[in-house]
Amino acid sequence: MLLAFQAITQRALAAFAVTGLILAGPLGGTATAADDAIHIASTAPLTGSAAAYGIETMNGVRLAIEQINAAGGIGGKQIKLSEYDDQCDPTPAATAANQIISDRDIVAVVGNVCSSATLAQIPIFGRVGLPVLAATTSSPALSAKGYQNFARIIPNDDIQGAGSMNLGTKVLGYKRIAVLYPSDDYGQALLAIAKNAAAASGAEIVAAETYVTGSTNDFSSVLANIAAANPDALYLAGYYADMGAAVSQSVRAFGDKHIPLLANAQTQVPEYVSLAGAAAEGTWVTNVYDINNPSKENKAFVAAYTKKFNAEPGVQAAAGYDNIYVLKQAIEDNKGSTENLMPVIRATRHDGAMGTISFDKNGDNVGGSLVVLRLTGGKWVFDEASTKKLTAH
Amino acid sequence: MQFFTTQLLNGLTSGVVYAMLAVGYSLVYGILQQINFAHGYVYMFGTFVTASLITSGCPLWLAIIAGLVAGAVIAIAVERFAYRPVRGNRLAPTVTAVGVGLIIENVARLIWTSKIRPMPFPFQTDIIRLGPVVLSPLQIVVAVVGIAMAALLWIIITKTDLGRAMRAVKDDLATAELMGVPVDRVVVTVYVLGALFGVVGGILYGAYYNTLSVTMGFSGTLNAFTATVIGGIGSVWGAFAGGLLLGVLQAMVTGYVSSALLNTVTFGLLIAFLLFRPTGIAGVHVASRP
Repeated sequence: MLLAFQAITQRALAAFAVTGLILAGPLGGTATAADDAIHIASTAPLTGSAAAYGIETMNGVRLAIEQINAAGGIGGKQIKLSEYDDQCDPTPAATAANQIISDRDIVAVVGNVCSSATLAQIPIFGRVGLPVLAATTSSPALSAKGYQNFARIIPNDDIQGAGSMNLGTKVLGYKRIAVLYPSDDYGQALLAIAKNAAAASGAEIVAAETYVTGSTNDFSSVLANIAAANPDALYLAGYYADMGAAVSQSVRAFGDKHIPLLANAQTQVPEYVSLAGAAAEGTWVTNVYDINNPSKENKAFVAAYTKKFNAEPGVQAAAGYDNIYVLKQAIEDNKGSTENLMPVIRATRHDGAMGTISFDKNGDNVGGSLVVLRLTGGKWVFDEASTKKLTAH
Repeated sequence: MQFFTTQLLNGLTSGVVYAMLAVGYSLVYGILQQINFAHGYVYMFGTFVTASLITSGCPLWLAIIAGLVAGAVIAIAVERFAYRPVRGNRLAPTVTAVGVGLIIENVARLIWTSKIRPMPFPFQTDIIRLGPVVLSPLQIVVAVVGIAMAALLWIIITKTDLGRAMRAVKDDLATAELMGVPVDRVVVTVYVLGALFGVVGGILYGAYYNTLSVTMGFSGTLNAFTATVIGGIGSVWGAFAGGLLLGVLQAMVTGYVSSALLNTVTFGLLIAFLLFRPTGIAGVHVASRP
């Protein structure tokens, strides 16, 4: 028995030694090799419940890098991307951040999608002064803390959430609003914004129901509460998969009574429509991007994206795409240097697929006008009249 | 009253689903004193087989049978390769169960990806009005299936040779084997029965909530496992009672207290039972074997 154990141990040790040698070779090589490329890292959810967001964002990032590299790079330097999966979860996100800061070639982090994950990462990146140019993280907490290494492409939840609420109260005239929100940072932030927006426009939050994203699948009881509160409209302040399931189950709770649905940008994905089914018809969405925006930058982006991925881009893809072009312009404005990038990024003004992107002193996007869309016949249709009314307010 | 009735029906419906999933734990624990940590993954796989067949246009009855067969086959394989070689050891089956569970989940990810998917099923958008109360035909389906499965289990345990053999193995595995009970076959059958109840529960879950994810093997199990403990782990009737109680309690907390306190109450109850009544409602006393 003892002999057998020793034999196994020896074999295991030998195996470890061999594995170590194999691993040491290439790793040792890349760590010291200084090529003449601009190395950036991305962290986005590539698996898990928010994977659809992360993958689409990364497609936008990849497309922009491919275009820039094909056109000669930034000042003659190619962009090299390392991709990390943060699973939209603070724990793997922190692990990814620690891996990224251990690679000294990396000059910027892009592509962030989830606020909870990004909140865990910013202090880690801050330790080495690594700038984070996030794609679609929208929690106001990210910019409210005064981090010096943070900027983001899309307007935060304060602007977006108020947009959906203002559409409901000021444009569509609803007075009694119910809110369904996830219990995480993102949902809590949207609830607070909904309350403020309602108070500002003379409307009332008649029900605020919560759930745990990723583990709640039964919405029957919270929907019964919402139905009992007799709202004029339901504001869906959550992720597409949860909202899809909830709306699919809402038919049973609301019966024949039609309750209009107001949603934020996260819901404008095909998965929401396939999960929610016919009950989703008529859902209102306010967004920071629309594929039918007639600007020449957007038309070029949509054509290239559709050609490469054989799918229509959404806000995630556009944000990922503009993410890279803003970084490119910042490096060019910085005379090709990647040193001390964040002040330059925050001073950048870029006309991208989404519209005009510029930043305030906290790194928040101040430009870009909201658009209103409505799910009609299973398709998200740009609603010009409502968009005009909303932006006129 | 209308609101109370609605929430009660919501709670009973999710309670039946929890009970179906909980039976798989209680059957195995009651007879082998082992927590079957692979159970959630087995029923997840069976449910996904049914869901993907429905989506691809297969007749409903065939899709359900295929899901049940898939669940049974995996249960047999798990028992043969992960449990039987380490039977009698208290700790090893827990480790092999978690390992085999991860394998099943990752195979499922390879086949069906990580995307959350709907599960089309008849009656999903139909409603029945009983006065002011709105009822779904699916709630009736869930109730009928729940009662039928409970009756089936009762018949198996009390009226059949298999049930007698199961009870003999539960009392004393070694003696049962000496008396000529085919222990290996009985143990496999226990796992298969648990898996079949689990897949039925999983299909009801998918049909009623119209949302499935490969992570349901783990996350969906949390409530089922809580129901098992509340009911009294090892008692199949306790699993039913625990499932119904938990479902109704959750609906009432959501309806009358706050949806924000749902998990606090659920897991507070779990801790309270573990501290003050570890044998659960059914009060099963599981003697430690020498």
